[in-house]
Amino acid sequence: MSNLFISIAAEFTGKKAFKQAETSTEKLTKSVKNVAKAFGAAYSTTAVVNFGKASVMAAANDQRAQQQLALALKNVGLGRDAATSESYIQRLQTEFGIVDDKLRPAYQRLAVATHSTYESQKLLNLALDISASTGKDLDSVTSALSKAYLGSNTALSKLGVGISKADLKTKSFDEVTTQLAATFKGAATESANTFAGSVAKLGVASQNVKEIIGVGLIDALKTISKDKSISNLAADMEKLATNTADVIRGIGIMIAEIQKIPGMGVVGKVLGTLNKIGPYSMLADLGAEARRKAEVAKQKNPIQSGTYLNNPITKNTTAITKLTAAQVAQTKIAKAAAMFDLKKISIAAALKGNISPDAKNRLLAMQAIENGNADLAAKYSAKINPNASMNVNVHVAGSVTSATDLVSTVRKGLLDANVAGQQTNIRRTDTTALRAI
Amino acid sequence: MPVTVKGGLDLRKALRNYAPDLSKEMPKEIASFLKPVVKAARGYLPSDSQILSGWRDRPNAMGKFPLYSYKAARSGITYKTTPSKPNREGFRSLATILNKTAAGAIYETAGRKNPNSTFVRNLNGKVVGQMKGKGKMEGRAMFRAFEEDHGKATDGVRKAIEKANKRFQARIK
Repeated sequence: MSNLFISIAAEFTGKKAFKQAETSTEKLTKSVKNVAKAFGAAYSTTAVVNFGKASVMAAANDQRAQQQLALALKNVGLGRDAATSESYIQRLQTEFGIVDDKLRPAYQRLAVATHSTYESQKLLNLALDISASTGKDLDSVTSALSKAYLGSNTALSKLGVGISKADLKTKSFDEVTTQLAATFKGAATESANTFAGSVAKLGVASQNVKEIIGVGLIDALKTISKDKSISNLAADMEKLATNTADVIRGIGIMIAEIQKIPGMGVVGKVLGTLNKIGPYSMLADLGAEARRKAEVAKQKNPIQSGTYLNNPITKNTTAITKLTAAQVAQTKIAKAAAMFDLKKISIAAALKGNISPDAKNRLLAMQAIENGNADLAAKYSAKINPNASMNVNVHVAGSVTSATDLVSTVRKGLLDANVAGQQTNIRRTDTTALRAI
Repeated sequence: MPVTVKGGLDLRKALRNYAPDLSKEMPKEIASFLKPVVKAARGYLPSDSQILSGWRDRPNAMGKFPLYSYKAARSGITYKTTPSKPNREGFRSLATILNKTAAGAIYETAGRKNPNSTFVRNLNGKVVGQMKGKGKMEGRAMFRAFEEDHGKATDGVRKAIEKANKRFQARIK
């Protein structure tokens, strides 16, 4: 049927794009509701079992995909770039909301074709843009690009990306990709920022949560099973389901992932608070510690692997450091307290006076005893002359006298006063006592 | 350019549900304004004997190029009063005149882009057809008839819809 017609009267009903946006919004709402339902159901045992099984499967598949990619990279001589490639895929996943299950095969295909990490990443970026703009699936786009890299442009021309056959024949691959990059620049980013992109990101986060929890569950099962295997996985899962603590760790990670999604901050904060209190926090810490150790243990560096923590020398050094710090603190407190110790103040004042060397030694020995310094106390005690009397000169009302003279002076004064009769209140009986001084 | 109507689709629904007689009457009235254009357009189609002999429909033709048949082309020019699907711009047509057949469409538009091609020159030499209209509204049959109608059909359709609306409003008051 031809498309020739005359529209006599027409009515505007809204563009397709509006309809798509509306549909996407509905989808997003539905997804959020599903997430909420999942949280609500997470505490029922059956749901935990089912969720756990799905998580374990997701984690196992993810691990297998990672190994496949690593092997493929190794086979084409890019083995040392395996970690970089994996982190690159994770970044793309977060940025564009495309699950790694789709990204890994695409990357692998390009890596096998190009034998270059740089080229693979460049072409995968281009493929993401083309895929987002044309609506073609990522697999077919990367397939076309990898074929084009190897010299077969047929698939690229079939993609309908605005490059004529003449161009494909005459232009080099670099020129063609440059043209494509200019044509589809930023399409993937734009697509990721739409409602549909948000839904896709939510889906990726959900998938990641499953994988992360699945790894945690497998670790837990390995710990529970004495044979360190997951052969009786289903049976172990049933037993494990009663222990919700393991799942709590997964929920914590899920909350963290949800907080990353724009607009989910409030839900994330509420659930995050729940996660930080009580036994949840303790279990989460335990789980996190185990995970970190496992992650770090994969590194070859012993410092990173954390094995040095078990070294007794290191432990002793740490203990000594702590003890020294405690001693220093104690000394500081003692010094501060000494400011208010009257005995110590008296000794310090006496030491400032004009005293004989023997008296000084005695005072220093006393000070050392007061300070608890055994070495100094012994040192000054040894210097003391046992036969010498303590003749300390002190300042009394501006005149300098010895302690013996001072006593004599006081005694004489008191006696004189008593003899004088009425000048003091001291009685005669007391005078007798004074004579005895 | 078509007349843009607001609420035409809702009116159709309302008429169908609450005033079935008006629901049947309105398309008939719209059709009464479209029929003259269709009739004129059909009249501008050449007969089988007038067309280029090589383009004429014949029993044992092997080619893929659509062959002209007066009968088919004539029945292909028609009108429609039911709403269409929305186009890319989001508009839905409430009344349409169509040229459905491929051969009819070729006769209608041949020479828009390449007026000096052999086919067009031969066609113009044999058929006394005249292209009327501008741009995408230029043609030998349907578009010519619409152009010569001077907007009567458009006005009539608009008035028919307004009239149905008024009558419906009067009834529901």
